[in-house]
Amino acid sequence: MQQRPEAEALNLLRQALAGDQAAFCSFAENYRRLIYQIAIRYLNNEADAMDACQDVMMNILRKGHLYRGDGSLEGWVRTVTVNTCKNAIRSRHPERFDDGHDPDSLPSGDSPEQCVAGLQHSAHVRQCIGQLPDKQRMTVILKIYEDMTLQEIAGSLNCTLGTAKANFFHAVAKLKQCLERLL
Amino acid sequence: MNGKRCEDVRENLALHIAGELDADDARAVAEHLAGCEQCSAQHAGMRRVFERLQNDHPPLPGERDWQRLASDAYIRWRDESGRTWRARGRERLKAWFTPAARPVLAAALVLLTVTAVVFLGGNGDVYNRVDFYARHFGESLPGDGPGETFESPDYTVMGFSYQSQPGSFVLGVEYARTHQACTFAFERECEDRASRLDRILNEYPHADFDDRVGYSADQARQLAMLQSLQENIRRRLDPLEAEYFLYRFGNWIQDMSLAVATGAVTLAGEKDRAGEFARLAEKFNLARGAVDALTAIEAILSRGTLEAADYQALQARLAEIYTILA
Repeated sequence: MQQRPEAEALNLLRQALAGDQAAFCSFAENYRRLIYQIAIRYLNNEADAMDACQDVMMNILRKGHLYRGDGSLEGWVRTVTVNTCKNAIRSRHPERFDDGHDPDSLPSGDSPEQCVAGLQHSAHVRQCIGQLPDKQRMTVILKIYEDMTLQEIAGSLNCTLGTAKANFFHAVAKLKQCLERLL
Repeated sequence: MNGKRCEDVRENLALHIAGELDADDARAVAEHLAGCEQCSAQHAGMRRVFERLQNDHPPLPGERDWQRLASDAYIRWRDESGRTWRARGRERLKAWFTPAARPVLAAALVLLTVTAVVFLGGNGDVYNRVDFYARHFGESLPGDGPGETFESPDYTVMGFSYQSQPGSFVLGVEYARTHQACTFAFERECEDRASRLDRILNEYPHADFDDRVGYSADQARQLAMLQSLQENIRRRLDPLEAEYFLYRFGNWIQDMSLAVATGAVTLAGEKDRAGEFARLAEKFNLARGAVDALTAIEAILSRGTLEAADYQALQARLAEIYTILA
């Protein structure tokens, strides 16, 4: 899936906002990987991820007129995706939404044996990621998979650089603990 | 970080591997790792975690599923925009109907009536928009008015396209293609609709009609909103009933709504220029569209098969039209 140049994607977005549905489909296709991979890793559930992806698309259409072109379009789409996924977590699991300062221990759940048994590598990785508190999870996703700097992540998640570093540190420590069961 | 304890170094391993340490700290960690077997082992373990994470590539949804998702989102957004637009329209209608605006409305109604008489006069019940467009847009269209069809070996397009607003044919075809549905445009079975519709768009000589008459973005948005009304009707009615409705009345609804919209905008923005309204009325064939639409909506309402929400929507639309025509 070859990504289009930004200018071409921006043109598609403008056409979509002016009433061109086909242009929006092309625009959405351009960001299929970006949007879906953040959603599936954050929500850890295919159905929830697809719902969130549709919400992301709606939000892109609703807010597209606000994009002024002063930052990268991909960055803007990523921000919309992150915010939409955060809202999805809030609305689906309000009791789970946290401020990134959850206890360090992993949530209780399946035993390590049950956790490993029958799960393939990818599923296990996503399960480990899925057990992280929300802000730690998003920090890891944006750092590891979207190759953002912690400074950029702090801006995106509206927190300080120190908090982003702490979230990343704790997240990696927990992931190490979880993944070492397989390593 | 030179000479730091192992504990300090290990706390920075993740940031080190992620490339988030500044140059001095990164160098200090590297030097420490070179001389500390235990920290080096921790570093290797941490690196394996990163590799493990980086090697995870969840499969993407299929292109078709993704396109369907995008189409659904787009339609929902368009419906949402349409609802907003309708609400604004109602507010504007209320705003105009003030005592001060009544003389302007009355003047506009007189002009509208005159326009209607001009358009209806001599044509009786057979109204030929082919001639209308030929006169007003310099278009030379094939066919001879209502009922004309475009035949090909594989499909038949009913001759409604240029009997209504410019663009309705293209919208109809786009609608059918988007929804993979048989629409009022087709008489035959609907296999391979998408490719067939693509061919029609390529072959049919008026598929670019919108461009030739210079449809504005605002008008396109209005049409999109009206298209969503059609979709709503299609969802709510029995399929055959919906087919009939859309074939018989769908385009008239567009005419009527454009009539309301255009008149509304004109009156709201330029109350002292009622003549402008008459010119627009002529251009968009408002009078005939409005009358047709009234007839169509009344016929639908009288059948009593609509659900409450649609009934109320159409009643509200009738009220709007009556406000203009009263």
